[in-house]
Amino acid sequence: MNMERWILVGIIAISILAIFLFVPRKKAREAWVLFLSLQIITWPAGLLAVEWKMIDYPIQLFSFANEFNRSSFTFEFFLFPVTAIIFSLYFPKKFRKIGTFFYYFLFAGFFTCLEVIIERHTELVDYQSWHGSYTLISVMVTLFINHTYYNWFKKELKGTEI
Amino acid sequence: MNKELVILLLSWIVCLFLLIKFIPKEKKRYFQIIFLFAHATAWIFQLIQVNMKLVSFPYREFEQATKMSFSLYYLVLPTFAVFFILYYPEKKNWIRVWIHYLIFSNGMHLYMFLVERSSDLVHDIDWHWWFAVSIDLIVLYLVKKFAFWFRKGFK
Repeated sequence: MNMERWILVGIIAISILAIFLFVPRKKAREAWVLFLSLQIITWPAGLLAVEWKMIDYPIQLFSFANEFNRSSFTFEFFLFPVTAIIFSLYFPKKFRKIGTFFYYFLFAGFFTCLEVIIERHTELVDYQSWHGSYTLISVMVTLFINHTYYNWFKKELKGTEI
Repeated sequence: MNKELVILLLSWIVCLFLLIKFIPKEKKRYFQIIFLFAHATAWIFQLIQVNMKLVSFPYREFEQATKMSFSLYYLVLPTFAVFFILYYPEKKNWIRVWIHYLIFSNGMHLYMFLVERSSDLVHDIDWHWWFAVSIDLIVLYLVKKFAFWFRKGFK
């Protein structure tokens, strides 16, 4: 197995570990809401980016994956949803506008840095007409939409305080 | 406009209309989460079937990006799942429950079958009726398990 696949396995393992560490059992339903609603956004958006030849993922976890689907499983359906879960569950309530903005910036920045490093040094991601700043902005917008939906949804869920 | 596009447009309009019209307003969160869960599940099962070369989708919304169908599994199948739970015979005996499962799993496949026959959206390579219906049954069962667990968390 080459270096790239080990990175993917590592990302998936860390994502699963993060769920166990950061999602309390009584928050399971909220985590499901965040995980599933994010996919409704990333699924078409990820396909669109590949379809318009903006981004490509030359190496996927399974070698046959690109034969059937060229959008990234690991990033869009694992790392990003898990990031979104932690983002919303630990969203600071007391911050003012500027603090909230930094909170968004922090998460999207982390995600972007990771992707840019991976893009430069491995064959996992290949930016065609894509740019790191697009990731930064699209991740922030997506997190915002997802968090807004989550806030609306949890109004009718019980026991939502950590 | 070709017939594939007409079928897709009609499917979108009919599904959205049915969802908006029949989902009880006070339970919209519950049915939305069912829709979302069904989408995530159906999508994995679609991948398995495409991978096994049982079925292919010659006419696709995302021609280059994927070999899979988008709308059929993003919208149509989750809509079936939502109505499956909406009319689930909860306090009835097991025969009535089985009939319910069979109606919906066959209904889903009937839709796919009709689309297959009338357009290039779905192409049946080696897609046995029993296999497709079994997969639909598994999806419906998972959706039901998830839905009944999730609803315990509502106020």
